Amino acid sequence: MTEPMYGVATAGTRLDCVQIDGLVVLKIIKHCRDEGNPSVMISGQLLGMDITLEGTTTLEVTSCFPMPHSSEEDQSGEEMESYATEMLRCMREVNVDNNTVGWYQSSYMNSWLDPERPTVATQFQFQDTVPKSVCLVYDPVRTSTGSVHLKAYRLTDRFMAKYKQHLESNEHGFTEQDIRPKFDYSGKCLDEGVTIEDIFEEVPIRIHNSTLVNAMLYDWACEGTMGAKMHCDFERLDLSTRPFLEKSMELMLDGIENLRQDQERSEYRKRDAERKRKDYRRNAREEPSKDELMKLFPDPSRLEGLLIANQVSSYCNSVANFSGLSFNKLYLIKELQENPK
Amino acid sequence: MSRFFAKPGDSSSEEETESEEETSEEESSEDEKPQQQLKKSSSFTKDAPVRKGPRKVVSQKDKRYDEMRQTVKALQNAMKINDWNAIASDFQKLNQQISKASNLISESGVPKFYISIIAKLAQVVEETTKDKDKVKKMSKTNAKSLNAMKQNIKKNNAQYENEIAKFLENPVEDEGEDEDEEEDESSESESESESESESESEDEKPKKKKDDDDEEEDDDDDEDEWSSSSSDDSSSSDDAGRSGATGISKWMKTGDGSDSSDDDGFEKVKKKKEPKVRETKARKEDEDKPKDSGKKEEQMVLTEENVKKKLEETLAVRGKKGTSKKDQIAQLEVLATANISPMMTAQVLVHLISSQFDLITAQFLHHQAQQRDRAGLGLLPISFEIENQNGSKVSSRDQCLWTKTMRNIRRLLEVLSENPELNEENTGQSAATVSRAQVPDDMFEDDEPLQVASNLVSFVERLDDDLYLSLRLLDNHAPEFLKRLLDIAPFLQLAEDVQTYYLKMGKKDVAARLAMRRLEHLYYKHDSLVAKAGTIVQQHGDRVENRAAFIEEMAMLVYQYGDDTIRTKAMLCQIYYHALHDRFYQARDMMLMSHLQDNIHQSYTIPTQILFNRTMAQLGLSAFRCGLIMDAHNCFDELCCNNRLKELLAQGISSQRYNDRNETQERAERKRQTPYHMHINLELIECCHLVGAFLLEIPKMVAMAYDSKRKWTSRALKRVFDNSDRNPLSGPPETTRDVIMAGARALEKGDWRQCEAHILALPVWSQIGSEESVVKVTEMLRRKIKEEALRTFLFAYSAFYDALSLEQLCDMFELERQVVNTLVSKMIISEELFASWDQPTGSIVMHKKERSRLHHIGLQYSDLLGKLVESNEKVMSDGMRSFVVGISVTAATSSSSRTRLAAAGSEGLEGNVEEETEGLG
Repeated sequence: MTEPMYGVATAGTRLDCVQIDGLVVLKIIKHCRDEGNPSVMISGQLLGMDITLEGTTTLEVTSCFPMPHSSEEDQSGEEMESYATEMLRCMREVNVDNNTVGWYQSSYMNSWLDPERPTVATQFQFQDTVPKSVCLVYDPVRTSTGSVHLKAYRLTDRFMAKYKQHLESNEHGFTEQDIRPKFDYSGKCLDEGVTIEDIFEEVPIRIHNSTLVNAMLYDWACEGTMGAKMHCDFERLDLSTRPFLEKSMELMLDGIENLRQDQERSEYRKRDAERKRKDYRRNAREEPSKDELMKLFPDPSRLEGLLIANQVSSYCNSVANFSGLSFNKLYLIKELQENPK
Repeated sequence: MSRFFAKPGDSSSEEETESEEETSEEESSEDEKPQQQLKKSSSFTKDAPVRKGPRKVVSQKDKRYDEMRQTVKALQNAMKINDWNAIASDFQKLNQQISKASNLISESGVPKFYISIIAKLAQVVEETTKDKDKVKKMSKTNAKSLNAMKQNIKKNNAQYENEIAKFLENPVEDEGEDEDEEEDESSESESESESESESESEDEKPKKKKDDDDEEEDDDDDEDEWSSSSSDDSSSSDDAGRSGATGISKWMKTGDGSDSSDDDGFEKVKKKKEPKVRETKARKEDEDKPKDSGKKEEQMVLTEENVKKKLEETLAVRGKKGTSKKDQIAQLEVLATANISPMMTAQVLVHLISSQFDLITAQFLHHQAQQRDRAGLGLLPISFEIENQNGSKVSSRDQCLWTKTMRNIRRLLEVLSENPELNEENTGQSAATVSRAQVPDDMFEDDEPLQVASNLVSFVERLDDDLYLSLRLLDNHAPEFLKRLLDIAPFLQLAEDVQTYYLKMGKKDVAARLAMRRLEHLYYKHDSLVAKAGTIVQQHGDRVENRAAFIEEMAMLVYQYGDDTIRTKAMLCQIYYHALHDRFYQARDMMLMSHLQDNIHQSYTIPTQILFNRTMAQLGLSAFRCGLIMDAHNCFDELCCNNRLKELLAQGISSQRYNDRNETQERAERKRQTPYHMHINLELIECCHLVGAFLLEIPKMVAMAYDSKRKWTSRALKRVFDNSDRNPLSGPPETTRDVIMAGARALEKGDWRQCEAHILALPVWSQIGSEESVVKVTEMLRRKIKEEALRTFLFAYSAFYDALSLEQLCDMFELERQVVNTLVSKMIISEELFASWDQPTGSIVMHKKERSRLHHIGLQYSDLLGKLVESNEKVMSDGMRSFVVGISVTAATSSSSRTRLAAAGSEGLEGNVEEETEGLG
């Protein structure tokens, strides 16, 4: 058995599991509930440490603190930053984990993937400075139906690389050329490119409680104060499928509409870029090389389209999951109805 | 003015001289006293022959006295013009003569005329010195001599104190003495009267001058003031002109001259004062000429040669600067009364008419120039303009220039038709060319240039243009407007007569043009209206019975012989006429056959397009009256869709908020306006349009409530709906549009009673036509509202019923069984309603085919995906492979198929779930 390795020093950026303290989960839920309005996005920072043990890297999230209301973010990014550092300092003083390992945010029906929200940019910043950081997404609405809806996401390494390039090249990194997979003559893959599947990766979550808490819960279960209620799952009884499907479909409609617009826009921009290139070539004294031209008049960015497509596909997935579950429930109930005994 | 032109006082003096002439003539014939000639020698040439009478030996006394009299005369003249230098020298001369004749004087005493003149001189001197202003205005030498004169006359008069006192006591002494005395007397009285007029004018002069000054100052400061004062001027000139019309001796009254100077020279007036005065002076001299010639005219027999000569003379000065147009007209009028060959009369008349038109044109241009100046103010002095244009300030219609011109045209027509051998071309060729030269082409909105070859018709057309113009510009509430309207009837008759004349002459194309003109005055009147009016007044130029055939006949004439433009116009007029009389299908068929809808926007002038719009509006109204809502809507839709109805029908300037029209465009728009009596009620059009639109739209709206991208049939209605949706609170409806909106909202809920209450309460329905048609329309609306309410109800609520009883529907909508049956069956056939009839129970059984919202969304989603894929494929085939989108689409489509499957599946199970819950319950 090898020694567990702590901290960022470990090589690689792979993350196999996120282990979250029960307290953190409760804190996030509380933060969300205090906010009241589920459509307002809330966010906060996660604190903890990553551990690599026997080849598996686990990120332990042991604490968190909420960030002030994000609607004021436009007034000062520095304020937020100074608030965060101040909080970290305070944490350190009371001897809590003060190692930033990511952030959490609330979401309403996958709205966290909305290209207008700063999810990608923020996560990139975190992941750039702390390679093993993670983004927790909590959906208060779906939680209210029964089980806690909490997911951990990270940007993929490939996307990280592209995004970095994108930022460095003055936001012109996501051209068609860049995200297309490249092969050499022998058919060997040089660059896999980026598809919508390659933006975020989900990291499994494990909720961890201290032994004392576990003991207490067990105690409760045995005593019967909470009794049978401990294991009941109300979500299974929820038979209403329509509101969710309708909502999802509407959002998908919007997504597709956006996609279509984006398509048109990018086509237009591309044509524009090509025309400019042509003009330049005609006017230039010496024949400029293709790369030069590409640099001068780059293709339009495809980032937004990519994100929208990603969002739509995530909707599709959630609808597919949901309807799968619903089918099960409905069949079950049908069966029950036919054979009451 | 009075300084140069005779005023009442002046004219009286003239009369006096005339009367004097008479007496003197008598005397000279009796006593043959030639010395009297001296007095009147200067002014009247016709008196010349008298001079040639036998000469007589003149006594010394007479000789001296004659000399003196001459001097006195000169003195008087000098006094008149206020030339004190001359007065001083003349006075000296007179005194010398007196001292020479001292023998005589000692014999017979001081001559009366001498006394009178010195008395008067003293008086004038006194007056003049009192008038400080005047003295100031005098030149230095003049003032000096005045002072010298003052002292001289005092000294001199002291010698004759007694005589003067006697004279002043009794200025008209013993008449019966000798003719010397009498002569003196009369000369005295003359001089007195002259002095009166003199003093009068003296009083008036400074005032007038001041007025002039004021005027000019005002010119610079304030256009309004100026125009009003100039209007005064011209009105006064009009007065003069009118009074002139009564007697030949007065028609030369100088007011005209002033008028013309005002008219022509008003631009110069602005610049300088001096030229004006000079000009007017010059004019005065001009004035004398026609005066003389006029007098001559009066006396000489108007023979053909004379007339011809005179005509040439008049034509020669025509158009020249300083010729008074009014004078010319008056002269020509006189010529026209002469008893000469019809050929000549016709010629004279042609010239007369064209110069009358010239006058109208000149006045119109004058006022247009003014108007241009004040265009910035946005106010048109409409009534003023017309007053002047037709001279109708002179209250009676007969006096106005237009009517006079019309009468002359009629006379010309009579002359021509009485003498068929006269070919109108040879009468007026020259005149016609002149008239064309003088009429600026851009002046009238009518686009056809004046046809000069056939000038009778062009006269009639000009007349019509002027009438139309004045109707357009006049305030529709002004009494003048009504007067002008009354002018239409005689004009129509004239046009009819001229038309028959041309038909007789075999000129069918010209006749067609006239028919078109007539048609334009007739097509917008309803038969019943004409019939009603016909019971009170005889309708000239119109037909009370069988009017349709009458109009048809005219239109046919145009179709046969007219050119393309007027054929189109006639067609539109006839369609309008049919539509007005609710013969919708006839009108529609004509409209469709004419294919005007296709090319009206490209190939026709704006006035024709406006006529087309008017016709469409009327067609729509007629369809509405006939209950053909769909057809009505089709007619109105284009007119009403962008809030430009006013502009399209040329019934007022539309006020666009973000208008980028410039001045010229706006003026052009103003020129296109339709006169008030031809207006179609805009509110009615809008009301019919909106009501029709919502009757068509509401059921559809309810039926396709889920489809967010549904197309509205009426954009105007959509706008109104959007506006009302934007209001957070809706109060009780106030405007017509609000009321219609409230009705539409009620109908949306299927509440036909409420809807009917709102819609039928609109007062505007009374405008739709005659009483019976109002009743008809109300009835039609009631029925339509019920029917559409039934449809709306079925669309909205049928999903909540398993079955509906026919009886109940009949009760709910107070419709007959048959109607409900028809409507529901229609809906079932067109698959708007998923149901079937259950005949035995008389009920409609609903089939549960209603789609859920999820269904709708799913369908929309797939539609959208389809579009996306399509455009994506297009992009791919264009050679620009857009990789990302391609990927995303495949992802989306695959997932969407999954989604749809899921949705459909859950849908399928839904029923079971519901059943189960029911079972549990």
